[in-house]
Amino acid sequence: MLRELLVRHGNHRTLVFTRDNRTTYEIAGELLVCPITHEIGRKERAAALERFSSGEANVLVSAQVLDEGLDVPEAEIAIVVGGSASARRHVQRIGRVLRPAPGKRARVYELTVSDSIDVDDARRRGRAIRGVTGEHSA
Amino acid sequence: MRSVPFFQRGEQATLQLLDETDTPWIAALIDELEAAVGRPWRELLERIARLPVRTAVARSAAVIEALRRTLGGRERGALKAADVRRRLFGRAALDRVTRDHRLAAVASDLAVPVAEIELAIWADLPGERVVVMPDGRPSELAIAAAANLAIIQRALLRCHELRLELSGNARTIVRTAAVRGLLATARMGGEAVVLEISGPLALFHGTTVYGRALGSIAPHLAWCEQFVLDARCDLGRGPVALRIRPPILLPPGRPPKRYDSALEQRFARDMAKQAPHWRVIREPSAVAAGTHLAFPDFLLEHRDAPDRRWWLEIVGFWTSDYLVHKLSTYRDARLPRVILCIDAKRMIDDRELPVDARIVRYTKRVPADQVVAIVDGVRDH
Repeated sequence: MLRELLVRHGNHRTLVFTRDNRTTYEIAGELLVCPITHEIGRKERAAALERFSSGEANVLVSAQVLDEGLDVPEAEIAIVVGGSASARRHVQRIGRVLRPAPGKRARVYELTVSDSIDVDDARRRGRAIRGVTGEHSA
Repeated sequence: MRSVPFFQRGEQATLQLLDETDTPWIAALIDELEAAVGRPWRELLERIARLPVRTAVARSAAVIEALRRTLGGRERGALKAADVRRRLFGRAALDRVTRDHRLAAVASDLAVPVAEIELAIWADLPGERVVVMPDGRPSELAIAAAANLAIIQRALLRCHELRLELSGNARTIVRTAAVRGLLATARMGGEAVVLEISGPLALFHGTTVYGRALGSIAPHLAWCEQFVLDARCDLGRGPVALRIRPPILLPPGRPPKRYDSALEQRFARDMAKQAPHWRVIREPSAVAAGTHLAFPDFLLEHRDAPDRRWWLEIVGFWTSDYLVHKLSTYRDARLPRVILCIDAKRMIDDRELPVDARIVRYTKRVPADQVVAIVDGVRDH
């Protein structure tokens, strides 16, 4: 599913948010994209953000570090994989792709397991941010 | 955030530090470690998690942290993981062919098989590093001491303010506080030096970086003959008063260096080159102003007119009030010629600088030319 979304938005810069570092590394290793975690050195993280800003890299995947303190206005798509984050963290994550820019339209996807409690959680979070984003697919 | 092991009685907290009685269960952890040499830390941690250790989780976590700090870990294989990632990661490889092609290209560049590239990708992560014992089996007491240091540093990350009463070798701690740029004031309290330091929870931002800087004074406590550390903290159950005093098991700190930081060393070198007519005296005597003490980093003395003297202090973290207080201490000490060099990146409030101060801003290097301009009288403010 994640791969499908990335193919669909191949020309957009995308942030993938995961539940934990292990998932971050699995996705990064599979797709060969830069991970951003606290275990990755500061210089390497800065280089990854630079490559993302310049368009050399089109996807960043992160469990936590992107949640606070970093600005990535180039991001247009957010994909939340496994949504156990707190409401505050969820809003911060979404906020990463909502930085205004001329002609920019941001999209947020949240991937959940069918018939699990995550679906309700995702809908609730979607309602909470719909007023800001205008749309939310879960 | 990692938890701190402590007891609480009323508003008084006591850290659950380790001592000789803890050595049996620490020995059991080291046994596991010995058995895991050559395996990734991730596997060792999984094995330790299954051990029935009879102590608080936060205490065993501190011991594990101490083991990791003491032993480190070795990256597997000859390839550097960060370099492999730099070469390999880029635009998303959305199909198998693209992925395989990129792996093969990097493997070819580095002249290794593709399988080695896959193994190397995450080899530098803490969990993937290989357990090593370069100096043999560590002693239980050394690990307990290192764990105590970790526990104290965790507590300091959660403090609003800190008061240290130091007897014997106080200068090392005071210098460390100054070099790490802490918001600290020193004064005499009877025979002891009293150091009052703002804690990270008192700041508006930069709290983690500041908390780590504050933690850097803890190893030097081992150099003091006597100390009493009083802190107002929030260790997770609301505000508490914390007191730490010897006897406690701490690792032996490193001896003080001639220059406390590369920044100071560079500045001394730059001054000597740009202004050979000024003698640069490192760490002049502490300056007493009433009961307060100031510890300038340098005294600049004109070689032809020794009564032309300037005191210079390099300030790390700062607020406007802090600079005003520092200047007033020097003024009370009747030292009008003072230059404060402030780190442009470590401002922790947004107010204006004191207008009557000779202040030089720096980022990575104190600009010696600006200091020379002031002391030579070209620039008065």
